[in-house]
Amino acid sequence: MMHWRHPPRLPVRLACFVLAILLLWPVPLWISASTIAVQASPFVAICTLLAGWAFGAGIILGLVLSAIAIVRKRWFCRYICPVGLLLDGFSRIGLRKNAWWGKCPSIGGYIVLLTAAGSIAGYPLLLWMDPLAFFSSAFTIRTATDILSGFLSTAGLTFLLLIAITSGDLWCARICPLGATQDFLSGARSLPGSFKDILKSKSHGKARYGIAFSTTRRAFLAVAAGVGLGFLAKRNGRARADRAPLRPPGAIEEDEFAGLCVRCGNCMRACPSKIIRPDTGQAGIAGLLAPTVRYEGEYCLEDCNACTQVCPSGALQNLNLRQKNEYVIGEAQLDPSLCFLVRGVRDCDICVRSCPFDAVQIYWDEDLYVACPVVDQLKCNGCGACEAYCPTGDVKAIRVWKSGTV
Amino acid sequence: MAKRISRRELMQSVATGGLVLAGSMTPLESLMASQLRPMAKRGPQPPGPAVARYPAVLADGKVVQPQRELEVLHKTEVLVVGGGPAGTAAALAARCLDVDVTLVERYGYLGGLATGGLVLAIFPLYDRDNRQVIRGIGEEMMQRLDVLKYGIIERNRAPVYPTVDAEAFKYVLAEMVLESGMDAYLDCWGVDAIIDSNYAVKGAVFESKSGRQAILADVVVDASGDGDIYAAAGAAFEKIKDNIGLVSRLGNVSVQDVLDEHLKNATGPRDDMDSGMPARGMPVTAFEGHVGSPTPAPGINWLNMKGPVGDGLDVAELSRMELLHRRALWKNLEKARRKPGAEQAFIAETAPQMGVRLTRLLDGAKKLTEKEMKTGVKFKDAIGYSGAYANAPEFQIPYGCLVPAKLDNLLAAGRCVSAEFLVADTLRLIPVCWVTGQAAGIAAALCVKDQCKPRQVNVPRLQDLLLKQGAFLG
Ligand SMILES: Cc1cc2nc3c(=O)[nH]c(=O)nc-3n(C[C@H](O)[C@H](O)[C@H](O)COP(=O)(O)OP(=O)(O)OC[C@H]3O[C@@H](n4cnc5c(N)ncnc54)[C@H](O)[C@@H]3O)c2cc1C
Ligand code: SF4
Repeated sequence: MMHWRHPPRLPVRLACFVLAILLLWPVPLWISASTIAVQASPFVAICTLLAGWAFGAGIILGLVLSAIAIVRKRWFCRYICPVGLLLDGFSRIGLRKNAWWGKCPSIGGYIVLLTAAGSIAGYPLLLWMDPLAFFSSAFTIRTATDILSGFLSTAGLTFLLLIAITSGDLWCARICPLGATQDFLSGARSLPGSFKDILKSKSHGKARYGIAFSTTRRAFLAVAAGVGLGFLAKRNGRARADRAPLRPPGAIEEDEFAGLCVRCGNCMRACPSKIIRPDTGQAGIAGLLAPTVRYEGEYCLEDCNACTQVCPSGALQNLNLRQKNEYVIGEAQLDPSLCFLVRGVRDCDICVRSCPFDAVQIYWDEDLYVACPVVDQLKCNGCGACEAYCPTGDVKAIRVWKSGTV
Repeated sequence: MAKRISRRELMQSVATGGLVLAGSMTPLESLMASQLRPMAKRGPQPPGPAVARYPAVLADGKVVQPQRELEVLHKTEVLVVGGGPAGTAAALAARCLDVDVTLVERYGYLGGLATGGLVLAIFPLYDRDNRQVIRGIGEEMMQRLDVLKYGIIERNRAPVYPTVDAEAFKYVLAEMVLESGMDAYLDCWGVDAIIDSNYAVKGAVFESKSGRQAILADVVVDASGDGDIYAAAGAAFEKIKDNIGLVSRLGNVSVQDVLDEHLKNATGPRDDMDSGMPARGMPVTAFEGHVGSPTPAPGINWLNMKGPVGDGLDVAELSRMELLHRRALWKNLEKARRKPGAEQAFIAETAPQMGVRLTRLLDGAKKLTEKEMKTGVKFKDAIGYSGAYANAPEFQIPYGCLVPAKLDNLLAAGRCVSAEFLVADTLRLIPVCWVTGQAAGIAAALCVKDQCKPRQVNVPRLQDLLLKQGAFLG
């Protein structure tokens, strides 16, 4: 606990903590504030840059912080990281003396190598392990619509806190990819054995303990594995693309989406319609917690592009309003055997009225003597207004399906 | 005076009705022969006074109706033409303010499309938060249906909408009209307007078994659904074509909800994106016979029909469509009988009147626009709300929609008021017709009381009276 005694650090850390909360608060300071809070992580900034989907003020900030990490060892951990502060606090009340992992090698470095190599293949494998993403995700609980998604959104941070309580600095010293990224940057040929000591040393002096990553061979293997796994995951994602749930507007191709998404929950909090929900595994484990779109009661508003403004990794492309409305989330299809109008249940034309793009029209078939809503796929962008308002009950007669799944 | 006679007739019918009712309830022996009244004389009647006849004349290939004086059947203060949801609400509301009211309806029952059109679902009643925003006279009608067996179902279960029984509703309306003491003429078509030299409406001309007669009035409420009277008077309007269907009721249907059945078999849970993606384009499957949805009466379903787009004012088109609709309904029945639970189904009734949606929209002092509807603009002269429907939230309806831009002494109510087509598409729905009807009725009564024109009506007073009659103004 020595570090608590260095006077300037605590106020700075607290200030950064408060700032992070302000940036992530459901009512943000400005629309894309939450992006910055995640992109500030050098791990996210560098891997995202390698994957090549995002660039912007937040990434530049992340790079600047990366640059500082080169000259000041673990400077980000010591001054900025809000999760670091939290974990410090929790480990103080916990059983931290029992550092059973003292002799364990660090795996953070491998995570970084795997992910960075995967990024080059277009699939940053473990980007979701970024602590700032966990931190951000926890705020999603305020907008969660059901218990499961509320639980899942906080699961990451809860897990870190449990580690802190039971095992002290284990996360920061051995696992955290954000920490390991800094270690790489500071040029530490050897990785730290005792996180405490690193934090104690104000300088960027040489590390003292165990060597976790000394051999270039292991590093090389990790990089090769990362590239290979990245390609594999992409292929797997492509194969599963037709089973994938709907993604928010601006989502990149399904094969890369699950990899690039950091699961920060920014888009879910930004959505005023609350139609973005965490994936609970419909499209396989790879997509777990990534954002999916569900039209239950609300739809993707024609005058909103909030989610496309807040994605730190570029998994959701930054789109202006016009582009967003042109982005095809999916396509609406009618099941006539459920439709109230077709079945004469009542004089329904709710899908026609609710469509903001005039894409649904009622056709009259003289031979079948039946009226039937028909969707103009050239106009339909899958905003889901028809599905949200269709009154047929639990299963809607008109539903938005992933394009190309027919 | 003609008025007296009709009143007396009405009273008589009430009395006879009461007697029959009493008879059916009391033990037979308590009914004394002396209590029975003699019937009118059956058989040949003495000749009446000679009447001059002026038949139309065919001259030079043209049919000409000679100019002639019309018998004045009746004089009244407020004349309501059309006895649908709007007309009945207007007449009852006006009658509450103790003015002389006369209601004229072309068919032999009240309720318009809501009964005779067999359009039995009452929506939109609720706002986004499932609060009922349409009350007043419509609510009173529904409350009267509440206490009748098989009168109405799904009441106060927002967002599910109530469904009424057509016969129960006809009965309730007849009862309310009788109780109110207004004059009512049924089986009587409004065929022309009567205007004076100042282009102000003074009544209307009707055609019935009694011939062509006039009813004079201080104010006329056109609740004919088609704006027949304001059009005849020369008011400007927008002509609309819309879908025209023929609704029917099926009997002996035990499939209460085919949908439930279907859901169990056909489609997986909501999350399962693998299942049940329907085919692209105009689907041709699943058009087996349809059995519609339940009504309050057991075993009776109502079956809606959208129908093709047509001109609801063109008698040739209407006639042909009605014949084709009937043929289609029979074909549908035969297919529907293949469904489990509907093997013994039969057509209990086809609607006595065609399902004509929109025909004429008034050019009013105010034309309610789609933008105003969607953005929920508030009006100083609001007379009520329409409930939320699809993605449009509840919205206010201004009084100006009922007042013609030029014509005087006339108010429109119901599905022919002044609004853009897409707005009228909501205003035409039953509860919203209650709203415009009730407001038009009160406004007409105020014109009589304050000796003013509809456009001069004291709006705060109108709103005050609406509130007193239980209407919802926000
Ligand atoms: C097929 C169909 C389905 C519908 N489904 C629904 C639904 O599910 N829910 C809903 O709320 N609404 C529905 N509607 C709309 C709604 O039923 C009508 O728009 C509503 O009843 C209109 O009320 P109104 O009083 O303005 O006109 P109407 O109901 O048409 O009443 C007008 C009355 O005036 C009479 N009349 C007309 N001309 C004359 C004349 N010249 N002289 C004398 N009397 C005249 C008519 O006989 C009628 O009784 C549907 C309409 C149709 C056609
Ligand atoms: S909203 Fe649903 S039930 Fe109504 S017409 Fe459209 S598809 Fe059919």
